[in-house]
Amino acid sequence: MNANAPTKTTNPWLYWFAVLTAFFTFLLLGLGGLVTSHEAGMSVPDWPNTYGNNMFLFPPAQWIGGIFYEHTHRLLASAVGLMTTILAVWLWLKDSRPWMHWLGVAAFLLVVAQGVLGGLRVTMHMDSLGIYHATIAQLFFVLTCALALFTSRWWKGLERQPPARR
Amino acid sequence: MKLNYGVKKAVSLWVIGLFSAGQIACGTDIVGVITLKGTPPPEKEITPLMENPDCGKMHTTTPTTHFYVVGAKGELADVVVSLKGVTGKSTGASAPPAVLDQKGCLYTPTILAIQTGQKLIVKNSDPCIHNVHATPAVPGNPETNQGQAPGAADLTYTYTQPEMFLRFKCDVHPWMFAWVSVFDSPYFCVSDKDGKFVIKNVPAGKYTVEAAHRKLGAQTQDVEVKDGDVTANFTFEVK
Repeated sequence: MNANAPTKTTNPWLYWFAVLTAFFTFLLLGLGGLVTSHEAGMSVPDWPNTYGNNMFLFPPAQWIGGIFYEHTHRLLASAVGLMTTILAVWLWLKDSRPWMHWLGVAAFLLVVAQGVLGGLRVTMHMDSLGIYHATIAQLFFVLTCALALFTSRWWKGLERQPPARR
Repeated sequence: MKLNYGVKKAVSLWVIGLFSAGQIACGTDIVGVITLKGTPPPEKEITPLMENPDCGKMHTTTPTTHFYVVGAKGELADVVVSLKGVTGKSTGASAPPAVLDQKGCLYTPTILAIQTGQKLIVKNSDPCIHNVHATPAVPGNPETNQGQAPGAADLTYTYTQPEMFLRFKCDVHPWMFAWVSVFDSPYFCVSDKDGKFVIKNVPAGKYTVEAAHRKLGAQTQDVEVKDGDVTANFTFEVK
């Protein structure tokens, strides 16, 4: 029997959703870099609101200058936050490996912490928080890649292989 | 009639008294001219401003930076002149507010000086949104960041600690900067386009006059204020 063949525990939808989450996280990382390189981090002075508006209702006509980078970063971060939440719930309900349940929970907690950290960096005017925000962002990206890897058919094939004899 | 005479007399005495008090309170002016020797580096064109659809349409030509505002004969503007070490004399609470405007996606003026406790009003005369991000470096002067939509109410700031060149910036339009110096006395001014400055009503005494330019650094001169106006000229040099 082919070790890489799909089994009952392989869920291609879950895998591709994890890949999509990792891809969006990668984009988010790039957008965060643009915020920094354009020194636009403080161009939206409030959080979680945007210039007093609900973040999701802020008029696109006002996405100008530095606001464009910071606001789109926040919107994409919200999308990644939502995807990570769905992924964590999905893993908890459908993945048979308990350690994957907790890895999903870890991703959820990390993405929430990241959002709060990014918000506090703005409201508390603390540049130093930005350093932690950027560092955790990269760790989180690694975690989403790991989740994609661990849900892949290839990885599950490895798990099913008997340990090599010595 | 007698009462009217009494009232007139009282008013006359009051006016004389007020005049005398004014004479005593008024000190001497310290005046001078600031000049720049040498050719400053060329100002840079603010091209991102013209590329911005909201800001670009407010200008017919590309604005430049104003780091060195120099007249034909080297008269240097935007030099902050003050009496060094004079503290605890602020009359800022009763002084008229200073105004910083955002016009054409630029701060006007870019160099400003106020007293501790004096109100600084920041206006938005532009048809676009700005954020007013004050980034003080001296503890006790808080960093603030507030949005200001077109037509929004003026923002008001006061600072409790003296600070040189406290930076105001707009992160939406990252070329927008203004520098506000805060003094703990009313004895300061900013040199005008002719390089001239006047520090008014300085009480008699010995002082160190400091002239500070954001790019050229600071110079000092010791003066003694007695009866007449005191002159203290400064010459900065481009290195």
